Amino acid sequence: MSDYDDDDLGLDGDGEEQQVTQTSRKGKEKARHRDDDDEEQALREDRDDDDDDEEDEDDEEEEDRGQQPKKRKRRKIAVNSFLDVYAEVSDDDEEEEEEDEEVEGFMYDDADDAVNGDTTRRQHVLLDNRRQQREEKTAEQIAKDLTERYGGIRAAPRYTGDLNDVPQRLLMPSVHDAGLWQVRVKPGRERDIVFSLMRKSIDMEYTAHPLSILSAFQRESLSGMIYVEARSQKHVQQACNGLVGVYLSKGVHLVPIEEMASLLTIKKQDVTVTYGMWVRIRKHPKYGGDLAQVIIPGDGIEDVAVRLVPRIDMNPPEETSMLDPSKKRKKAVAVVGAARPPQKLFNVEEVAKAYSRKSIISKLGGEIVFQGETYKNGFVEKDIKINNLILDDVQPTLDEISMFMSAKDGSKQDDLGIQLRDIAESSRKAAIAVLQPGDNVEVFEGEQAGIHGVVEEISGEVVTITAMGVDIEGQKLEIPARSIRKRFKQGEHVKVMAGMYTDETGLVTTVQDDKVTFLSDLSMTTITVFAKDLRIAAEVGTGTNTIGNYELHDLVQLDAATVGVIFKTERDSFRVLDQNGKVLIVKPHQISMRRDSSRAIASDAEGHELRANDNVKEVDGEQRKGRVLHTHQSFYAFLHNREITEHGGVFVARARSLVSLAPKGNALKNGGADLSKMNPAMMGGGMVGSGALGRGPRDRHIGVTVMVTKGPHKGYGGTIKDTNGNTARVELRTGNKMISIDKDKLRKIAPNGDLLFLHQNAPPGNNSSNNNNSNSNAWGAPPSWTNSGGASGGRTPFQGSSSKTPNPYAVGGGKTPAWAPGSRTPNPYAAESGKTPAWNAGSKTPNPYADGGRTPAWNVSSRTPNPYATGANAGASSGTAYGGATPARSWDASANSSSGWLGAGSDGSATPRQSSWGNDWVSAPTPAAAATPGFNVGLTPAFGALTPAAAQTPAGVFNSAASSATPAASGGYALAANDNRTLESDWLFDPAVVPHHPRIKIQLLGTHVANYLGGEYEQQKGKVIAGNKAPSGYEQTATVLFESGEQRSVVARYIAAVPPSHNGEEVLIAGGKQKGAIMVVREDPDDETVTVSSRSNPGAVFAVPKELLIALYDEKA
Amino acid sequence: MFFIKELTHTILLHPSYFGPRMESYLESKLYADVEGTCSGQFGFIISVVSVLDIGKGMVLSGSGQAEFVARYRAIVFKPFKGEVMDGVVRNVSKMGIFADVGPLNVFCAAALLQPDLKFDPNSNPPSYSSEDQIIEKGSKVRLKVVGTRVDATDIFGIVSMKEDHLGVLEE
Repeated sequence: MSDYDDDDLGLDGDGEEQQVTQTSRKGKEKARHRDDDDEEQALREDRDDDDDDEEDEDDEEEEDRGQQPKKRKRRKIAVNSFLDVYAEVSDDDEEEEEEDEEVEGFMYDDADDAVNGDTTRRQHVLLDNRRQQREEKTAEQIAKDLTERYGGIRAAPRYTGDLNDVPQRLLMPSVHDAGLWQVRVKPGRERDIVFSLMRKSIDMEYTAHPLSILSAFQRESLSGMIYVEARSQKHVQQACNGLVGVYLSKGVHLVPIEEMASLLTIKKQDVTVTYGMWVRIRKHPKYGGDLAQVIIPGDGIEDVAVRLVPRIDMNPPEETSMLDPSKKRKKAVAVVGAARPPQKLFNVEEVAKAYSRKSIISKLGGEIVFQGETYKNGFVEKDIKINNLILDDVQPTLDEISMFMSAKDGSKQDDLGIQLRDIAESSRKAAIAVLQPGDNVEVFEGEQAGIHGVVEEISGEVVTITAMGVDIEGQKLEIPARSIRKRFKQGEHVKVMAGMYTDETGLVTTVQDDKVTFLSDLSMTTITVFAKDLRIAAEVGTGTNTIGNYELHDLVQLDAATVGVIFKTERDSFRVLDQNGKVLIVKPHQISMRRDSSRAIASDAEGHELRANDNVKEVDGEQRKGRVLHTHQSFYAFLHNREITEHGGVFVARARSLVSLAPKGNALKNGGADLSKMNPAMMGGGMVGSGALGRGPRDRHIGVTVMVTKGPHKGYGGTIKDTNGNTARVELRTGNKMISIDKDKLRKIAPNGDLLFLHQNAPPGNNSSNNNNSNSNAWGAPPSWTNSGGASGGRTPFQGSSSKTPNPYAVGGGKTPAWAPGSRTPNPYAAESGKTPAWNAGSKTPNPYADGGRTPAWNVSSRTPNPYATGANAGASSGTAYGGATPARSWDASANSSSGWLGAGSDGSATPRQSSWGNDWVSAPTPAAAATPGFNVGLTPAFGALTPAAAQTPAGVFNSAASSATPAASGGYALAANDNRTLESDWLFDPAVVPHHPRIKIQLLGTHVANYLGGEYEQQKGKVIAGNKAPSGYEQTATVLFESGEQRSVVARYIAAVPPSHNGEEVLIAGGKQKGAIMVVREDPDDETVTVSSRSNPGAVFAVPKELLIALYDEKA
Repeated sequence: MFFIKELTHTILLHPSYFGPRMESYLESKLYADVEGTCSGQFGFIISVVSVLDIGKGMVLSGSGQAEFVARYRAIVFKPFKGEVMDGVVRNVSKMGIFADVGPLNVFCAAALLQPDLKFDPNSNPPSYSSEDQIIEKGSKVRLKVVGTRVDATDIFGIVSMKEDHLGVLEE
């Protein structure tokens, strides 16, 4: 404690926590007697720091200077022995002063005999006299006195505080009194500053400018402020000026009058510290939270001597081991997450081993001083401020007490025994509190000892239980609550409700009296707790699994260089095993982030990939087995093995020293055939799953040149370097800077300088120029026909080249929009027809990615069972001739739809679409259309209106809806001729194709998926002998003569055209401007566009999309 | 205890499997899905004995997947309190021993071992030994279940050997 305490004892006896100096007031009084002993007073005051009580008397003394010190001392004792410290000897008025004088004189005479009986008697007499006088006063006199005192008339003798005689309410401050000013000071220095103020006041008292403040005090409960009594703010500032630690700049505030009194009110703390009681240390770098036992209560002093189980670091850092303890401790605290040394009784031998023997000083009585602290019987004994002790609700745990119990000294055993009984008692009290109706309890003492039952009712100290077992089964018994305890049986699943194992759950293994041992569910270790802290639990201990956002076995980043895995969660901290195998205790706020290693791959000792959840074994070292929890930087692997008890079974190993327990190679081989692996929909993770990684760029936007259109970087150009969800990392062209920005704020810069939405493709003009080259648009890839928004531009080349050969199956028809949406464009349909599930689905199909987009979707889909085919078919339930061919059609169709269908589709305005192929697909996405039998029923009227006279086609050839079908088809056909790039869905019955039926090569596609005819005819080639028109609502069918010679009727939607396969082959153009024309392939048809020219005019070469071409059988055949 | 139990399992089948060999696929998926799993209610599903009915697939709107509710008959294993089982010791520590009873993990606390068995931490592998028997990793033991913890997907048992006729099985 501070050095003031010796003087303060009297004042602080009841826990008072303030220091009052009344320097100035004294000064005023003294002024009246200044004539003779000015200097002496000053001198005295200096010595007289705290003896406020006596000072008033001092002031009135008129004595010899030389004798002063001695006399003072004696007198003090004498007076003190008769007076309550509060009952100050008063000096109300002049007569008293004289009397006091006599007292002084008398005492002086009797200096050597302070408690002389004579003196005592005289004192009494004097006091009585004084009282009498006071009582004799009339009311007027008192009133007058009071006015004098409080009327602000300073000349009058001032009241100096006899609390016994003046009613409290009159002492309350008023506006006439000096104000109380609050001054901000450095926290912790309040008391020092008050004393500095006092000293300053004393020093300056007789200078030219004495301090004008009246008093100053601080309250310990209000840290960072002191209160100064003064008439004006200026006085306070004057007084505090120059004192270190006073923050005058923070202002000096007047305390409202009504609050002044409460500032000085002392709330009595009912603190009883008794010998041997258990307390807890509130805040301490080393012992914070530890249990301690009071050894010297301290009798109301602020310090309490306690003993604790020491925490001595047995592995002292070399350099600090010899330094002084305070410095060392500071350092230890600074280390983040460093575990404080465990509690262990002081053992001279061990400490001597860890430190030098010199550092241990033995004293008499078995005391040992080590690093400035005293150890006795293995405990460390410390003086701790009472404020730093938790006295209530200590709840010592079994472990803690057993720690104290393990002290070996025999002398203390009795004491401890008593303590143990206390503990048992207190824990029993607590046990009553935790009893609940329904608890299984047993009676362990008293008459009914041994009976067990279920708690029925608790009323105060009496518990009614329903007994169970033997002869008193079902009887209700009233038992004192203290005699029963909770009863647990082996194998019960319990949960800890209180103490350091709070929220642990486990299965009871053994029960011994009121101590229950259970096997923790999480750590697989046995834990022993008091039965009172347990409850039957239904749930598994998930309670402690999560704190904040972090969970057990999470990989967390602690700082830039440290990651670790949480292996134990405690009440509000984690134990983390870092990558170096060190155990750290961290609080949630010390974790900077959780890392996701689910996609991280490391390679094991054999070079195989190693991921989370693999079961592996160490190849070297202890050959531990475990399941991979996380990998970090492809180098460390965090493993978990329940059988390892250390660190909750978590350990860290180098990935390179692990080998998989499951033979992996085979699994991979088999995986090739496993469709579920290829099926994104079945992969749970969708496209983000690692399985999809190989199939294309992670994000098609990466590498795109963009411009920022919003935010602080508006107008900046840059390149997307990485994307994550809807944010993109953009490397700005200027400033050499990477920014993270919302994708919505970015616009793609087209080569022509236009700004486009990211998901848009290059603008039409650009596209059209590229169409014939079939590559190098903004994406550097084949142009996307699907970019249907700007269809008009895209059409142009077609018009020039379109011969009518429909060749929808063109192998290598890379232009099929089918892959374009998937592989190249960020789902162009998202904007236009993104609502339609078909498109979304389409963008997910593996097909587009299958061969990097070069392969037309047709082939892929026709080979592999395509999940979407079915869905698509379903959508087109009333299907059209070609509806079911392949799912790819769907893209194709809608993508190429042109203005003909403008008003038809829900998305028509965005995508003018027309397609004989696409009809059902267009409609498929929109539920309404799909629901309508006859795919284009709804559309036809429009066409009818548009081209009412266009009925060139015999209705019979056309599929779909009866009468309206014709105009529709014709209209569609007429318009479609302009720009179609793929076949219409009813191409087979196109008037331009029908005449060629006996020659065109067709094949069945999609039958496999739809299980049509058992899929046996899949890819069977043949020619159409007759196309039968079916009434609306029925499947269109055609009779096909297969190459095998078989002839049968086939549902038209499975019939697909066979694209030309070699140079010189005759083809029919089934779409576009040249629809119906028969041409000859002039170049090997392996590109999306095929160069064709008519036989009659070989020079007039057209480029026709392969899909529009249908290979023809030789005329003779 | 082992039971033969009729159970159901819901299989979601991706449209890509709709086809001729769908049933066989469903069956193999059923085996793969349920065998070796544990449901708290029924215990460990050891083996599917027969598939009673693979169910009619119902195509779910939205995903296009078909849902089959397959009924099958399986051998299940569920431990009960008081049941005596044989197991193989997997791990021996100061706290007690962990053992495997087939798919079931059990723990026998040191206090629940026969009283004369003492832990010998210095032996390799660590073991509990008495004059006439020794329990170490790999020992076959007979145990009695004193309690189980049943989760949704796992069962854990506390066992005792502190009774007659329990303990190490002689080879």
